[in-house]
Amino acid sequence: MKKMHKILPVVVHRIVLIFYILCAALPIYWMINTSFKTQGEIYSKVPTIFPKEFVLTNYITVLSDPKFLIAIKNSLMVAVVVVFISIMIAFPVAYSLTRRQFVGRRSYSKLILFCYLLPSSLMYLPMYMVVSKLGLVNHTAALFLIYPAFTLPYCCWILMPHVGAVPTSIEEAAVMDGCGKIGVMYRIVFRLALSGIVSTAIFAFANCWGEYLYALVTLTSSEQLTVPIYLSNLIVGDMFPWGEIMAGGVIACVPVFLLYMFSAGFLSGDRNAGGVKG
Amino acid sequence: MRSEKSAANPAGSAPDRLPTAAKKKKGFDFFPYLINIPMLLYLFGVMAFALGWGLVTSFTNKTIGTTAVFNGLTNYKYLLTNPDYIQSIAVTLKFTLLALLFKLLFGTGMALTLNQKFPCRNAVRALLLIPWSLPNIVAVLNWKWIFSNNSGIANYILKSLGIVDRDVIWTGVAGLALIVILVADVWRGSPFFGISILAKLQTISNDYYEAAMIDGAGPFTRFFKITIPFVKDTMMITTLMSCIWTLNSFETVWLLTGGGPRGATTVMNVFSYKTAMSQMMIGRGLAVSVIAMPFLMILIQIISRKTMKKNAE
Amino acid sequence: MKRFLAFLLALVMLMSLVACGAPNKGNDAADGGNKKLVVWLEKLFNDRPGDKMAERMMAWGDANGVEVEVSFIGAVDFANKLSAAIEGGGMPDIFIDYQGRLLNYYPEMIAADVTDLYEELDEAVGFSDACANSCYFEGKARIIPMYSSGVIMYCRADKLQAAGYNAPPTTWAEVVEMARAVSDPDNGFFGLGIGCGPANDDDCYDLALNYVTSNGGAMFDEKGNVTVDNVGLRSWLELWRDLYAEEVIPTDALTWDSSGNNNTYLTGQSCFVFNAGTLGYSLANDESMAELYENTWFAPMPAGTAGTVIGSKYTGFSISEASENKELAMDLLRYIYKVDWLTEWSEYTIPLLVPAVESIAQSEMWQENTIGKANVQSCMPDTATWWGYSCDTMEGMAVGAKLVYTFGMNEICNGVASGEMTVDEAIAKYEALAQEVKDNQ
Repeated sequence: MKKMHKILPVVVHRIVLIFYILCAALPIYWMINTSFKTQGEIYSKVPTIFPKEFVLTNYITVLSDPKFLIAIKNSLMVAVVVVFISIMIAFPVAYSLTRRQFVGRRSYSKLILFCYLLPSSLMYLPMYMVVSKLGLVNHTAALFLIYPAFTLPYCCWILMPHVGAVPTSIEEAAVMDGCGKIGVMYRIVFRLALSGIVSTAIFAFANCWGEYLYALVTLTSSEQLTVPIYLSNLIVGDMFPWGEIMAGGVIACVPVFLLYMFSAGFLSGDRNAGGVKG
Repeated sequence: MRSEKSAANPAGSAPDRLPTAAKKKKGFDFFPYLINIPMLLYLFGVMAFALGWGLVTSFTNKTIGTTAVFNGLTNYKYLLTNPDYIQSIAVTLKFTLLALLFKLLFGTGMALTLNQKFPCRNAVRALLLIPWSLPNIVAVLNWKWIFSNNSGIANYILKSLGIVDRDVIWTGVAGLALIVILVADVWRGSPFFGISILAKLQTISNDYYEAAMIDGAGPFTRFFKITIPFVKDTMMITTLMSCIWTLNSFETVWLLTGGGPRGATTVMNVFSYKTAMSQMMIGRGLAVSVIAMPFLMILIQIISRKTMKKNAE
Repeated sequence: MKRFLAFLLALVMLMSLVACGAPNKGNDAADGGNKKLVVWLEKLFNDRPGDKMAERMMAWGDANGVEVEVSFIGAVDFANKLSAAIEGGGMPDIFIDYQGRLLNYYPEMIAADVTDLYEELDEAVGFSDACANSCYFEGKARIIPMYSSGVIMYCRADKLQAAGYNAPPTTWAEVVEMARAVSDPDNGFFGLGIGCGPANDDDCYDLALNYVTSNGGAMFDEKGNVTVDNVGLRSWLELWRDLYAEEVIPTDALTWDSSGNNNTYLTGQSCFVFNAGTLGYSLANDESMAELYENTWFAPMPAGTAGTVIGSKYTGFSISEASENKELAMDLLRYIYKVDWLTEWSEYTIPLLVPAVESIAQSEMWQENTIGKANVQSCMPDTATWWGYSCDTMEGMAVGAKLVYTFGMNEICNGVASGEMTVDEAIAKYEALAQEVKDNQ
């Protein structure tokens, strides 16, 4: 009986875990599967679970296209810069909203979310106008100005509970040790909220990485394109080159996957405990 | 002592009293204002213009390229008496509520599952994050392909299992089309809930659970009495974010069903895009979204009041 | 921590510099001036013709001290970008244009008047007679025609031969008869692969127009009044209703977007499909599709009771009204429109993009290619064009063009086929829609 008690939760856990893994992995498997097939096989009436004819042509076509590599470079650059800007702007905002009382605090916090009131399918017009006035049309840098529109509110709000979870006693201790206000904010609180910040950053990264409409409207020449536009350009009129689209898609999800794997250390969650010893 | 205070404010909040150092200072505390400057610059420099333009133009009859002519409430009157628009609101509500529900359920489950230690945990975490990190276009096209009518794998599986004998036309039946877009949206959105809640879960000290177990609390009690209070705020904020994003989502629906069999999956956003795109009627298209603004604002108000209340002095 | 932040900051600054710097690298002003032309081309089925075109344009630029910037934009995205540019500035000097696109912005005319240039080039290279219909708006030419991606009919030769037919149908009546004959819904094979999904801007509306006009109907009269309630449209809707009920049209056709009819043919689900040459190109050039290619007849569009009244939209170049370099742009176009070069270019576009220059379209190269020949025939004009409805007024033509993106035709075909609307209700609805579009202009 005792053994049952111990094993049962583990078994349940594993079953649920496998369920989640399958849910996530099966569609991805289908994507990868399709990317290795010929067009003829893709359109065959009976879909094949494993490619009858395993080909690398789709990947070769995509990878040998210099425009694709440029698109990856552009997407990476935009995502990194925008995420950095967003965290740098949003962290102090989250800090001030949780730690300080000031005039219009509540309204301000709501105002931040008002950025989401217009959907991108309409907001692209005024955004384009702003970018155009600044002469940034067709420059990747224009996206530095546009993307914060959807990353900033999210970063601010999601960071609030993470920042709030850092006990103020630590701050008090630091202040008593003579640490300046900015120092407290960055050296102490930032560090302790790091796990939350990293997960927020990764999400912001993924959002920028996959954004389509704003990039489409702002960027024109092939040197400036980002990955989603490149993939969508593979579709000419009514012909969907599924194999190539899937190949491009598989390659496109590698960076975020890697990012997450490498940052897993930050998210192991033991950092907080370290800060309040004694 | 410390843990008591933390337990009292599990989500963390502004302290009941400000740090002593600040209290000593007399005069105006500029700090919060200063550090908010970059954000304010962005809000009033870029966003205010965009939103303002949208709001003002919705009261005109503007089409692309023409000068806007103010026409008062004409757009609004047209929309509110248009049965297609009313339908789109109903569809939006249905879709959003269902999507949020499932995302919350799946996401919480995901977080709880990932919170335990098990082999290859990091790899699994990364795998479960992929649905979110795929560029949306790729994911949606993939689903389109999976639910394709004649050579899609979904139909193949159903036919092989003998559940149906003719191809199911996923995007052709109202209920099924809704399922398709829900699947795509929930698959993509659950990791967001999962990881956000997970990050929060990992800040809960094990001491609570151990103490509770010693006291004889079962897993469900532990979940409801310890876990939930801790993650409640994160859950609410995540749900709010997801709600706004789901309402704003466009590509998912447009690429999968194009608005569905006779408007059955035309969410508000798709409707506004079609309006703005057809005949280039930007003014009316904007009005569609502007009508939704007050409700969004109320939503924001409710959630922010709940979470910010804890932070009030 | 400080060092880490400093490092991050440096990284970000570096990347920002790269981002801002990169575009400037390619934008060095040409010697002796800052003359620049921006050209937006549409991404074609294949990169080669596009690249060749860009090459030619840049060669002209180099020879004349003008910087030419050529960009390729997907067809679907073109409208969004153009709209943004019209609103926010940054219109290209030259862009790929066709009648429908231009008319969707009516009453705003975004293309400059190039009548003189049209006449000049017509003298020089000789455009097909069909082109004028697509390029003239109220007596003024706004587009210089380049090519037409005509719609042709694809037929499953093997299935038809098995049913005893040895040649593709030439009239709509024959199409319907043959489609009924080969249809085998229980085995997943359908006769007529036409779609009317909610976001389909490919074969629903266009096909309806073709049918209606070739059967003597007209959606608008010469003055632009709505005459949607006509015999042609009625019989089209009845066709949808009946053939769908008989399962000659695939059951899922009501969900197809523009790729639906391609899919249905490629998966071997349908016998007759109407599509641009892109489908044929795919069949001809992909080895894994060889069998299907062998079993396909490529035929021109079928005739109606009033004869073969069809026309294809000619796509070409427009110079934007907002451009500050119109003369320069015209010079560039003069360089493009040389018969030798156009013939050479045509080798890259065969068999899909029928050349506007008559002599090339009628040349051996095109006439001896099965798909090409069908295409050319589909582009020969007679009276009406897709969007024009034989309207005298541009206003009427604009209504026709704008109706595409209301997806109204899709809705009524959908409604009638699924049984939710009677033909009368559908006609009434479409009439109201057309009238509304007209009133909103």
